[in-house]
Parts: sequence; structure tokens; C-alpha cells
Amino acid sequence: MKQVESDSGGKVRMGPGTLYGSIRRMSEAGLICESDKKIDPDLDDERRVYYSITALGQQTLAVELRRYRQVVAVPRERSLLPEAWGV
Amino acid sequence: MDGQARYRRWYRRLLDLYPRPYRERFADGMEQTFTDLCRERAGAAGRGHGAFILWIFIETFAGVIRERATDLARLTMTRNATDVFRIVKYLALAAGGLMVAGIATVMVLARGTGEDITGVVAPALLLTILSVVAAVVAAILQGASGRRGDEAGDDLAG
Repeated sequence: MKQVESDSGGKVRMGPGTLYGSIRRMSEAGLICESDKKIDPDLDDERRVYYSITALGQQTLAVELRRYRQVVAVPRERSLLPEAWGV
Repeated sequence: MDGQARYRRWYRRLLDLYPRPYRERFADGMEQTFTDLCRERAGAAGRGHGAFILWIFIETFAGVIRERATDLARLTMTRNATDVFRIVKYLALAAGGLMVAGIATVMVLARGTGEDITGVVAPALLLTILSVVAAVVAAILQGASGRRGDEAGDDLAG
């Protein structure tokens, strides 16, 4: 949640309701799965659950990123983006 | 009991509003996340703590509504709309039957008394007609839904 807030420059605030709802949907879609990998077992709470991206999740992410690139490519090709944006 | 423990207890109660499968899977994690957030927030700043807690409660409650709505949509899809229409049809017929029985009772009781029962019978008759219309519509939709289900079954079998 802190990462999302930080990445969005404080524009997106995510609480537990949104976070766990997203986890459920992504998990049911097979995009993520529970992982046994612990970051630091000594510091860790044993109830904490970790998730990792699955192969399907990586494929889906790649497809989504390609789609975004295609969307951005249209205004770039038509010179609609200000140069200052550096996109 | 200190404030943190009280908030945590209330939050646990809020989590009880989630659908059971969701609750069984995520409630402990959500409660832990809430506790961590509260602890961090309380350590960082005293002011705004109440507003932050309130925001978490509202955000989680929105999550409850979202998950309930998802659950309901799934239930309707999996249980098949035919069942829903069948229930509506029987309920409408039962309501119509009760109205007819009520009208008959009032007419029998009022017989010979000369009392004007139009004010009671007219709305009851209207409700009876509406119930019958609802039952007919539900029956038609039930039939259509059943046919669609059969076609879908044939498609799957084919």
C-alpha cells in the first residue's frame, strides 16, 4: 500500500479493502499465487502471507504493457506529445 | 482497554460483514495490516490519526459492499435465473391467493351489514391483479430462461 502511494506520488491511496479485493481477483484469475518465500524469516510474522506473480501473470503484464506502449505510440507518431514530456 | 485494541475489535467486527469464503481467507491478514497501519500511524503523528482510522473503516466497508455485490452476481449466474423467476412466480401467486382469500373473507363478514367495503376491496383487487401480472411475467421469463439454459447446455454438449 505504501509502495502504491509512493509510486503514484501520493495521488492513489490504497487501503486493506482495495488491496485484499485485488489480491482475491488476481489470485482467482491465476495471475498471482501464494509464495513460501520469506523476505527475512527472523523479522517475519508467521501469519504474514506472501504472493508472487505466476507465469500467466507475467504474460498478462507483458501484454498490458505492450498495449500501453501502442496507445502512447499513437500520439507520439502524430507528434501530439510535447517534447518536454520526453516520452 | 486502550484505543488501539478497541479499534482493532471494531475492525474485526467490520470484517465479519465480508462473505464467509473471503473472510476465512483474508480476515486475519486484513486485521494484521490494519494493526500495522495503526501502529505506524500512531508512531508517526498524533494528529490525524482518528481521520486515518475513519478512512480505513470507510474504505474497508466499500470493500465489503464490492465483495457482497460480486458474490450476489455470481450466485445469480450459477444458480441460474430460472430458479429466481420460479421463486418470484410462486411468491406472486401466493400474494394473489392471499388477496383473494382476504377479499372473500371481508365480503362474507360484511354480508348483510350494509357496510361499504369498496375502500378495502378495491385496493386489494388492484394488488391481486398486479400479483397475477407479476406471476405471468415471471412465468414467461422462467420459460425463456429455461430455454436459454437448455440451448447453452446443448452448445456445451456439442
